[in-house]
Amino acid sequence: MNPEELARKLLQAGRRARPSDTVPYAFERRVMAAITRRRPAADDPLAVWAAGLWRAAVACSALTLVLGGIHWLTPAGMADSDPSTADTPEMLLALDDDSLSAALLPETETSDTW
Amino acid sequence: MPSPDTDSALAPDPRATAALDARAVAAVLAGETARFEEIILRHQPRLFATARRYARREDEVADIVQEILLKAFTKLASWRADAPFEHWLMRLAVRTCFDFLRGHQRNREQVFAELTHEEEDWLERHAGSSDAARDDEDAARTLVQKAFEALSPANRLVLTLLELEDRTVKEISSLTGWSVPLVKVRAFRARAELRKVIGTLKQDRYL
Repeated sequence: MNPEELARKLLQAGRRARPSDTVPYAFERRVMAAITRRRPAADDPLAVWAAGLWRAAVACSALTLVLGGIHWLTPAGMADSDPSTADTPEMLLALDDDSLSAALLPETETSDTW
Repeated sequence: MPSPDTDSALAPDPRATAALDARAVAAVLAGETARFEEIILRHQPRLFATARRYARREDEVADIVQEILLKAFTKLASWRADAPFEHWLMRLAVRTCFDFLRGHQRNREQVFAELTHEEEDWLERHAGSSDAARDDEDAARTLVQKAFEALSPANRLVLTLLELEDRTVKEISSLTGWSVPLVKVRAFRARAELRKVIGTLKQDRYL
């Protein structure tokens, strides 16, 4: 017998054998209890507010941890080498005129050598 | 002692049932949560029969039906009274069963490795002769269930609705939310997959 014929017979048998519709004892009470357990959170505005606060607390804690981690992992010397924190006027005054002009006006130097 | 509500919950007439459903839903939406029990009592036998098509273990069946009823309670406001409540509930049931199938895909290649004696007997009898004997329907039922467990969730759902529950393509489309052409394509693929599953049976013994 080919698989098609056996599949047809299996489906026939499956159609004849209807599943039972018996219900476990007091099943409706189990469902009603589950509904009652779920309802307070959905109906009570204070519970909704509290749930929101808890979620916000978790999010804030996560953000704090991430920022703390970044701060912790950043090498100590990197903060000093930040150009924005350098004492810019003093640094410029320390440079002599030649080096400053060489740095700022390279084309002047090339014209001299030419 | 049964309450009047319990008595009315057993009314078999579809129109009367629809009217009772509409009244109970309105009451629940108005805040009488306890009236939902009436709806549960009226529809739970059919929900259990449906869930037993997709799950073998009784604790899984009960979990599926509970999930369907909890979803129904949560989404009750979305039911529009222009269609019978039962149709809406069955749509929810089919989608919940499909979610269950997708979430509980067992090892689909193992199903025929664990046949019982009765199932092997059934296969031997039907693979050897062309007449469809009606004996040992339990073995046949579990065998069908095992064969269906080897199918993908979508294929299993469409074959169950089409072949075992005798529903039309249009009904399946409405229950699942799939388009009619998609249902037809899936039915075609599902039959092919079932033939393939049966073809993988121990061929030297049964085919």
